Amino acid sequence: MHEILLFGQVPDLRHESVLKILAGLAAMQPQRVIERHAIYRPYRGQVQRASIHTGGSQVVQNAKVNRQEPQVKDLYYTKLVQSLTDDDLNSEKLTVQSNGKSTAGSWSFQFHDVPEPSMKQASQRMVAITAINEGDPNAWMNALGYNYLSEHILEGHRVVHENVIVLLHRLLRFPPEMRSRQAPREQLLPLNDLNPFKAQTGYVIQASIRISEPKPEIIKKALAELTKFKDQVKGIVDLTVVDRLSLDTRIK
Amino acid sequence: MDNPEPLTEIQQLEQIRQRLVQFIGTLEGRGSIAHYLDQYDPMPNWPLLQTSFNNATAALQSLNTIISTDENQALLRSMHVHPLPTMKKQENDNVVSSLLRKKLETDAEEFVEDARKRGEAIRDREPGTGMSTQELRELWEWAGPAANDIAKAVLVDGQDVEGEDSEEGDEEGDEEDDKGNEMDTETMCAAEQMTPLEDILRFSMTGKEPEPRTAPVERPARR
Repeated sequence: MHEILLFGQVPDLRHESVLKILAGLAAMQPQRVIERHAIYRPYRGQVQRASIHTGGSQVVQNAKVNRQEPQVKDLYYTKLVQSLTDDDLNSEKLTVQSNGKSTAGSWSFQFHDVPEPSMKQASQRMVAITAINEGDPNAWMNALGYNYLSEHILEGHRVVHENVIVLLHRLLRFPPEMRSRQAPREQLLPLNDLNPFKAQTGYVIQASIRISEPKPEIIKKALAELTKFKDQVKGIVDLTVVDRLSLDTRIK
Repeated sequence: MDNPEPLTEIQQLEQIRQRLVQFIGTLEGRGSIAHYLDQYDPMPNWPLLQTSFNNATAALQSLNTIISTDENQALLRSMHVHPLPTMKKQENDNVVSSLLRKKLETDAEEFVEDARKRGEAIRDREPGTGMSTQELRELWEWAGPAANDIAKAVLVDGQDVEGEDSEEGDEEGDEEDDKGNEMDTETMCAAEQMTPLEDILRFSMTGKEPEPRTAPVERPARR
């Protein structure tokens, strides 16, 4: 699956009104979205990378070489994403039991590629999402060769307008003393106890269209629709193309 | 020109004169609307216009307050111009003739008449009715888009907004010229305080803390 993306930023003060406008535009109630993102880093990556490493500043070249070989996916940060509800956050019970079974929402394995360099009007990237139906996701990731790095909570709303998926969200994380180092935290915290990722982040608005195959005509169509949406919300939010390297998932 | 009177009256006149000079300054001097209109082509940017407009209104307001105090009103009503014989007519011809003129200049008279009529129209209106529907519609049709444009022009300066370089180039240039302008700087700070979108995205993809940045980092060219 490929994603075509545009991003924008909404100050906290305007969040409510922007959400209402989006709901009106899409003619639907915004869907609550709470996701826990656990970021993993492959530990075998270093070895493979060393074998490719030929000299000083070869990072860009490496990436080019890497993309042609399927197994070098290992060199990318990868995520486990758990979809949650408000109830999950507020409940006292553990979301990950000692046997690794999750009592809260389901997990999925998500891989995001670096956006294509050729695309200028929006960011286009390959995304792979695999649902994890049972078992201990963390143990599975470890077995795959990934180490848990950090986690954050994505909180916001989603509306869908025609083919455009709009996600208005912000990132939260656990207070520093409560962050886990080995695996995703077993117990969640109520929303109010979570810290925003940074002061003054505002909300991020992400408008995306998902396409199954990156065929030129499909991309063109998707781009046209995304641009139309961009023009529709002009003056409410400015949707822009972001630096593709800010969406870089490669390990440097 | 005036008979030697107790100091207070001179002081009263001096007060009024100062306000008048101040008001004229805001209309014609440096930093006035007229000044900016002369300087900029095609038009000065809106914060400049608004500041000079505010200055002029403030000066007019304080002049109005001074003139309309009871003592000053009484003084002005009872006062007459009386040039002394020693005053040289050749040198002060303009001043003398306009001082001795009892009636206003024709165009000024029309203007005053018009203003008075409008003022009365506003006063005679039922309290609470405010503007007519027609007037309200006119105002809003104009104000909505205008305010939007203005806000955009100001915010764009502080924020990282791409794809508007060509359109906004001129305005940005203008605004950079007056960093001193209060309103301008305030809004720009508000926009700058937001964590850059790139940092947020980077964190969401890799969990990396954003690097502290003091000066705006030069961004790699992408086009």
